Amino acid sequence: MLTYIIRRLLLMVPTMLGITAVVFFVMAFSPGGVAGNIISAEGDMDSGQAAVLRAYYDARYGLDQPKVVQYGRWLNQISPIGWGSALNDQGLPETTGFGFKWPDLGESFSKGRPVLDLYAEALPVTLLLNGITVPIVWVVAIFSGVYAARFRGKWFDVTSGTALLALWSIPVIWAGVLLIGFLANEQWLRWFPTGGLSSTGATEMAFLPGFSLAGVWERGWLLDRLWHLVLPVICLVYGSFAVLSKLMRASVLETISAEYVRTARAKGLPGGRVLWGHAFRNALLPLITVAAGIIPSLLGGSLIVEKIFSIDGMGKLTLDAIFARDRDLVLAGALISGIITLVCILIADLCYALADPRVSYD
Amino acid sequence: MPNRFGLKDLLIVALLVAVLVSVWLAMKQFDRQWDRMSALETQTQQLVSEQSAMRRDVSELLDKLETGGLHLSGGGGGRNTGSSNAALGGLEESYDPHARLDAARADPEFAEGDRVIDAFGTNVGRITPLVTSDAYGRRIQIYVLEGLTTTDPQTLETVPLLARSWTIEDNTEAWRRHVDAEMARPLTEAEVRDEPLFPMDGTADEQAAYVAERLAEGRREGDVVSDPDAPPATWITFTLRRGPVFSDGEPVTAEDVKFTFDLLQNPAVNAPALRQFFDNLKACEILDERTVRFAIKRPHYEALGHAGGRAVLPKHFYERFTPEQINQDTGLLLGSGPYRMRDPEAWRPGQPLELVRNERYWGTKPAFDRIAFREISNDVARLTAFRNGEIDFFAAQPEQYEQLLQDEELVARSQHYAYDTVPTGYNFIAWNQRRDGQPTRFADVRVRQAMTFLTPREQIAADLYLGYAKPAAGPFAPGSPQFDPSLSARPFDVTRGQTLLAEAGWSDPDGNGVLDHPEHGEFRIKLTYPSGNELGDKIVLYLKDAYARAGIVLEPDPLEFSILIERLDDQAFDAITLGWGGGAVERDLRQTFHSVQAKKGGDNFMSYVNPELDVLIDQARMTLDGDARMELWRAAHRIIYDEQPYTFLFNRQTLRFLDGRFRNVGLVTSGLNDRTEWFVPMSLQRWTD
Repeated sequence: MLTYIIRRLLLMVPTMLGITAVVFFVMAFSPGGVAGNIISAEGDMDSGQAAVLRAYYDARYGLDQPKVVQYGRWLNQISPIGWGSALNDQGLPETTGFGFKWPDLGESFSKGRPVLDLYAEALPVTLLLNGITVPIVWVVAIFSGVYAARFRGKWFDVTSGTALLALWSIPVIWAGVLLIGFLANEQWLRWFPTGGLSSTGATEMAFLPGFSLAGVWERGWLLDRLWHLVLPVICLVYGSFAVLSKLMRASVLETISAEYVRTARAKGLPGGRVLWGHAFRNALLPLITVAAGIIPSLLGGSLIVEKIFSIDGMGKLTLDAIFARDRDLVLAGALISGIITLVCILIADLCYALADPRVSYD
Repeated sequence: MPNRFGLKDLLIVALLVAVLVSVWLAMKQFDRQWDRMSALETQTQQLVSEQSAMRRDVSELLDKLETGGLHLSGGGGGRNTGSSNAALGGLEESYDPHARLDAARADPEFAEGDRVIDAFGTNVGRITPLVTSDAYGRRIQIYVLEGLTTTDPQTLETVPLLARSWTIEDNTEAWRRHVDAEMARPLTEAEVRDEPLFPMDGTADEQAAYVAERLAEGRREGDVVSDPDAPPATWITFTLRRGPVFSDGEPVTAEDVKFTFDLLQNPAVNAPALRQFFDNLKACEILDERTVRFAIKRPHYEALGHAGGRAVLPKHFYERFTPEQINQDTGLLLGSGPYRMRDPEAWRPGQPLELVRNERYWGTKPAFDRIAFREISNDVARLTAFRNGEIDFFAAQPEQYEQLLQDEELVARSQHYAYDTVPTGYNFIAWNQRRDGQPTRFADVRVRQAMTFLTPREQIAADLYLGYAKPAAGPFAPGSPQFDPSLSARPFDVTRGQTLLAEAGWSDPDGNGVLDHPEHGEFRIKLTYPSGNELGDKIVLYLKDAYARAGIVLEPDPLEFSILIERLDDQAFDAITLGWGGGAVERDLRQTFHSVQAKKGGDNFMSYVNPELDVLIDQARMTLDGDARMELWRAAHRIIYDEQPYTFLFNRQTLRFLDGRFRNVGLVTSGLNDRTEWFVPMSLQRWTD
């Protein structure tokens, strides 16, 4: 098993090289120059800025060098062994000695900040959203799937199937705007805030809900944050039920007609025990495979939901990076998500061995 | 199964409950401390406020003593900044930068308190000065940072802020003599070998080639002017006020001014675009604690504005950071302005952005306790937030503005303004005159004039901008002294356009409805424009339709911005439509219309060359006398109007809804008056601390 894991881990290196090379060269040869910062927020340009900025980017980030050299330098930058680099007093990079060094994800030139910092800001936001979304989706999908299989063809199966499919087909962008328009609008129901993750003034709130010194009810920071999360989470959740629920239903249907389930029934076990203890457990295997694919996408963020609710997560960061042709930011994103995907696939493979004694990697 | 709930389980559960309860109690305790701290904070603020009032009184007294009790009342009128060689002392001292605020405070309804909440369409990346690249960061900084001078919103003149006064010494004659003498001196080979671009590591051949090339080219004016031994063309000496302090209580001194400019010139600081504006600054020296002198390389009308307008940064705060830290820390913001960050170091993107009133402010304090900024990226959400009263501003598109004016409920609880701003931007179509080294059909001035006649600007302004835009007649803001009032935008006139095209040799012999030319072939052009803008798409359709009437085929070519920038660099386009932002109050034409910029990567990307205009632009830039300079700008305007390197499209109006509770909101020459002048009467206040 250990040799298998080591072999798989070593195989990841050429795979990652391939992934980043494809991303780099597709980006390098696609039309379009470095556009970050050159246009103002109002869509106007300031005369004289573009040329100066471009010259600066070229000097500082080596954007005028041949593409292969640029890719080579980037590989050197992220590798733990290689030539170090430091900025001289002119603010230009200079190569230092060869040896061990910390891998460096580089600097985003459209934002002028280290890539690591940018991801460190966006990732917790996305994880928070998905951390709430995923359990809700799974719990609802599993229960609705199992009961739909149990009462196959009955009213529960039909209505849940139709409802989930209907939800699945509502575009998020439409639903999000409607939710804001009706549930966050003074003219209708103003139950929720229009966007963001905190209210104005949330920094001065106490952490827990309670009464202030003057005896006024205050919701506190924690409740305020949860209150802001309601609408985005609804948008993220509703479309995801259908697929998982249908998968669960099909899988349970398969096991429920198996002979060991019939045996369990025959020996007089109560219906709940048969369903959850025997049929459900065996039906879980396909879900493990799906989970391996879902975990990397947890980090992806949802661009549409982020845009509608003004949340700065991974989706926005990645898209802005691509539009600005921000080399280091895009490559770091590809690198991180590539590694996580590969690791998750490995873990799923190992889980098969754990779940099914017939699978062995020795 | 023997799954009984035993004593051990009970213990574990009890332990768990105990931990949870103590965590809860600890949090409760924190919350109580938090409340206590807020109360203390309020008290400290009051103390600081009283102290700063006392400081202000003392420094005013000292200032009066120093200037012999001279205090002329009623500033403004008759000043022409930067125009005179003589000291301008006395008049500036009479100028009170806070007179407008004092007037607001005199209103019987005036009350301190409440907040004003602004909304941005994208997130703010950083607020550290110098390295801020987006306009949003700058919109926050203006409340925290102050320069030596500022621009009066009504007269648009440069007026003192942190400086009490300044003097300008004109040394142009000596400078001119030096430059002429140096330029006449032949370049020697030894000098060429000392040049930074000399290929030290190159082969002998390369070196010889470089030397030969440089000797043939001769001495460059830029090198002569930048030589440290060359006399400066102008000296500007600022005398600082006695009163101003930074929000941490340290006084603003000449040291801080010099530090700001040294930091800006440090190449390790990521501020290349800003730095180029200060290329003309030779040196900044401290004469005494409150006097600082700038030496300017070449005569330039904007020298005073550039030296004085730059926000003064506190040395004691920013010197603690390396240039690399300044580049990367997002929230280093401390200044002497009316508002401050609660913590001048801690802000990170994604955190709430709030400025609190600087209780130590040296001038008249504004009314609002706080200015908050929220990020709302979705249009519907922004409008909803404005309706709900969550934000106080809403910037509308023309169509939206008209629609919202029908909404009685909204109009009743808000105020709305449609206004021109100064400085103002404009959008345009640039006609590329040179492509792949060959003159294009637009190299003929008659064709360019014809294109302007064929562009239905009035109709677009009426139909798409609903009247909230006017056809632009040139690069300057209408009504500014740079603008020649005798010129008016060419009307939409197909006949005159066709006549001009016919004169230029365009006709339709094959009768297919498309004009032909013996050299240039069929009149088909691609109009490149930034994609993703609904209004832009509609305008291009109007143009396509209008040009087709005169036998010109227009192909829309919407491009993503990064690709468009690349086309612009390579000058690989027929025609392009873009907008220039506001820039300075007095617009400099060199960047966009001077022939030195007609090169790869330059802003004169349409390769428009007119030696006469070049001379006018150069002269205007070097003329310090205001009236003479305006005469030159107007002459330049006439040339550009005549030659139409661009078809100038529109000067657009700004359309804003504001919450109805604000008072003292009004229009000034520069646009809407600053929100520091507004207030909310006590009974209408929405937010309390």
